[in-house]
Amino acid sequence: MIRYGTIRLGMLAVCGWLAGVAGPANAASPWLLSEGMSKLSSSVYYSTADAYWDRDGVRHQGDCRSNNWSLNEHYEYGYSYYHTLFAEATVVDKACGPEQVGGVGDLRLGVRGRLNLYQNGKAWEASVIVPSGYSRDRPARLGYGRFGVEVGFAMRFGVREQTRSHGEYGASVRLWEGPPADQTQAYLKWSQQLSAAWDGWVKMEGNFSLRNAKEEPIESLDYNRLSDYDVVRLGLGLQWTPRRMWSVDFALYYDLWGRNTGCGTGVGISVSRTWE
Amino acid sequence: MMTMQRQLRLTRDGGRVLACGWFAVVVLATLLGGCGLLPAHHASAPAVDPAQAAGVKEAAMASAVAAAKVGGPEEEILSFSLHMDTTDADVLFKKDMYDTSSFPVQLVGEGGRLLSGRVEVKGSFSRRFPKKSILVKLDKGGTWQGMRRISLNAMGTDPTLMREFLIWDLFRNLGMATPRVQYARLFINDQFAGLFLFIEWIEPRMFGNFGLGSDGALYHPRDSAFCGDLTPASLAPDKECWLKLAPPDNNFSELTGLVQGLATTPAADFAAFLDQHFDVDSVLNWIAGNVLTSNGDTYNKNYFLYLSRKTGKWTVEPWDYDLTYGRAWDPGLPFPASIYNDNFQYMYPPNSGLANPLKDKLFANPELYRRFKRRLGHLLGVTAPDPAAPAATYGWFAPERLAKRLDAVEQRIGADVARDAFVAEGTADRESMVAALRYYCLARYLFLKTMVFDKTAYGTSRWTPEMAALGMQEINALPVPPAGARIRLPLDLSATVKLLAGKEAVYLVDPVNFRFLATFWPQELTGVTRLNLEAQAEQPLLWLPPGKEAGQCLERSWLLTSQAPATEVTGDLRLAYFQESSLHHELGGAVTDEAALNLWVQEEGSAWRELATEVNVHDNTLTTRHLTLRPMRLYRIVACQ
Repeated sequence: MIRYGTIRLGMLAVCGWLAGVAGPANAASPWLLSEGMSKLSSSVYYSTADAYWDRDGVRHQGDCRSNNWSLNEHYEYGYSYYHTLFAEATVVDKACGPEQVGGVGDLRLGVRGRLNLYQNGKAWEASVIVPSGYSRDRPARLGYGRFGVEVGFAMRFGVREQTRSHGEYGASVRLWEGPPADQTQAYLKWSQQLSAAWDGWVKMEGNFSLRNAKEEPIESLDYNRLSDYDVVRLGLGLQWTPRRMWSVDFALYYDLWGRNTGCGTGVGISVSRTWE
Repeated sequence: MMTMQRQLRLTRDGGRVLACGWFAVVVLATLLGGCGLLPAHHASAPAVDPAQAAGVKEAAMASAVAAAKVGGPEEEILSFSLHMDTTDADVLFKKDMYDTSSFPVQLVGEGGRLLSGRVEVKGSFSRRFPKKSILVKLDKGGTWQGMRRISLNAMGTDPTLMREFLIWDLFRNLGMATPRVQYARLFINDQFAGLFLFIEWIEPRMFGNFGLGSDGALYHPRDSAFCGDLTPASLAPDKECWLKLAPPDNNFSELTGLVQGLATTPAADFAAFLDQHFDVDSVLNWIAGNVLTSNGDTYNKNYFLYLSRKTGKWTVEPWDYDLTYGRAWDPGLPFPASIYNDNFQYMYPPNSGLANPLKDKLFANPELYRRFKRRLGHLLGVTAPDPAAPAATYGWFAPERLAKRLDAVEQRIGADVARDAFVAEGTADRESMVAALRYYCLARYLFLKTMVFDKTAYGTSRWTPEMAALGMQEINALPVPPAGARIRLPLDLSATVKLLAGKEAVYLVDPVNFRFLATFWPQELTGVTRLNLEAQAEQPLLWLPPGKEAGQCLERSWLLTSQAPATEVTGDLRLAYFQESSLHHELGGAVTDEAALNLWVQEEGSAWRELATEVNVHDNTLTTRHLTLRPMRLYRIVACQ
């Protein structure tokens, strides 16, 4: 039983790695758009994992390799100087062993506001997570299938205009309606100009369960483990600005540590366009 | 020669005869009363030799210059009153520079009627300054004096608050299709927010006011792209060099046709091309304005092009003159100090600036260069008037006339400047900057007059575009200094000027390098003498006062003599030094405070003595008062901290 449970857990943990975090996304963003500005980011991420960390943080080999694809559409609109609205939708396709699932994942709607009236780069953020109606009973699933609420903040620091460098950090709390463990997220990022059109960045981000990655007293043991996890992840990236108002982001992610989650790597590309 | 002698005779006899075209203006002006306003060495007493006859011609022309309209901000200062949320009003001036948000506002219009709209910060580089330029866009149906957009320039980059006004005033008087420009007081929620410059929004409607129709095509080089230089490369879609403002579509075919024409027309045929496709006066005036103001911030940006359907021709609309009149870009400083700094220059030749076929082929075509030179000479008042330019603009940039204009503007705006909180913080600095603006106008005039219009002893031009091109070839052949390396271009400079009793000031200008070396205001003069000044510029010092090290001093040595055997002269002396950029200047390595420089003088055979010195770090001049020069003595001078 223990053996079976471990194997089963391994498969689900690997598959579930991207269930909670469909793509590398910040806890919050510090940036507000000017009034009337729009920004659309289209991202494609691929991640894979064949191992997982158990709830004590011990690494185990999984019994399948996950292949997870996600397409994320993120739109922001500068509603006013004081508020930026955003909406996000994700299409997911993931497979691990016999499990395979694809379709529209969670939707996210939110608002961002200024923590500093005069400076951009210091913001609070609030959003709601709306499941799109997918099944939440399958081991491999598109999301938790629950409504969630997230509040957080993000700040810039160390802005140096000469070298086009700056840092960002942020944190948020995500509260779920139902079984998933409430979570905190945090990140720290540094961006640096490499050339006229290229910037490099490095990011550390973490996602931590507010229940200390313990089992939850709900109907499915397997789901409990996957919805109550910690992970610390390192990201490296390059941002290319080929022309005004356009940018392309190339990212590489690597899971450094976790509990109740897969230990994988991911690559992504994101194209952003801003317009008035 | 005959004409000159006749003019001379007429002048000596006090006659008032209309001898020829330009001389008519001279005589008319004389009748109107002005005279003797040019610097003393220009206004030499009439004599019979040809060189002095030329001086008479200049003196007469000076009268014309003086009699011409002084000009200035004759119009009333406008007042704009905005009402808006107090938080919005606070945020508007303090928010991040690149934010383009707007805020709801109500403008008190004519008759006290409230007009609703939005207000936003406008501009690009000027956004960095605390005093922001703003744009009010009135809601549909609302207009102020027929305009839906109210554009108020803060002049935040120009503490004198005069640069933009001065050049727009000139362009308007030249008869160009220019926006309405007036000083304006801005009140926000009944509080005085500062003195601004109202500049009518550049749009087809404005060109329609000048008979060019409101249905034309309006283009503008995109400010942040730095590539709207009218070359074929500027049309590359990925560069986004151009904005098409009207009609608001993506059809750039007319601009493409123009650019191709500019690229393929040989310089030899360019006069005909220009006559066919352009309002040539708009081009001549634009370039002349750029030359007078040393505008280095254009030719790839900061202008508009309007294609009139009525005339079928392109009109150039100048734009953005805040970083002119002596401001110098600094390649050795990081942005934004590279743009906004205390450097000073007046010595860039007329064809300097970024490459642009419209400018470059104009200078390369003899006929167009002749027309340009005539326009420039007209504005400086150093040649015959240009019949194609309004008579009132003759001598517009002559120093005494420009000085009066500056006085008039300063008097007009002084009270508002004094209560402008954004300016008040740097009042002392502003006075120094206004002085530097005055000095620039004088220095630029002397430089251009000497370089472009004065002849050599052989009657040849001292400078032509062809000579400049050859000079550039030589410069380009020199080894390129390492990035960030100090540049030194040693020059031996000299100037001699006659001192006459009763003259206010004399200017010493090197006739070979065109550098303005010094101003001398004689106060006590026992006879007639010549003042000779030599300067070794950008070179190790020839001598040092005791206790001083070379690094504490300017890298410039002066040698001053009064050359009449029996004439002692006392006066104020202003010496110029050089600081074009952080890489090209004369400050010694140990000079830590430029404002603390003092002049030191050693009369031949005597000890060194320190002179009380006023330093203007903005125009790079050192002034000492009441300096006595004994006849036939050498005075060695240096400046040390």
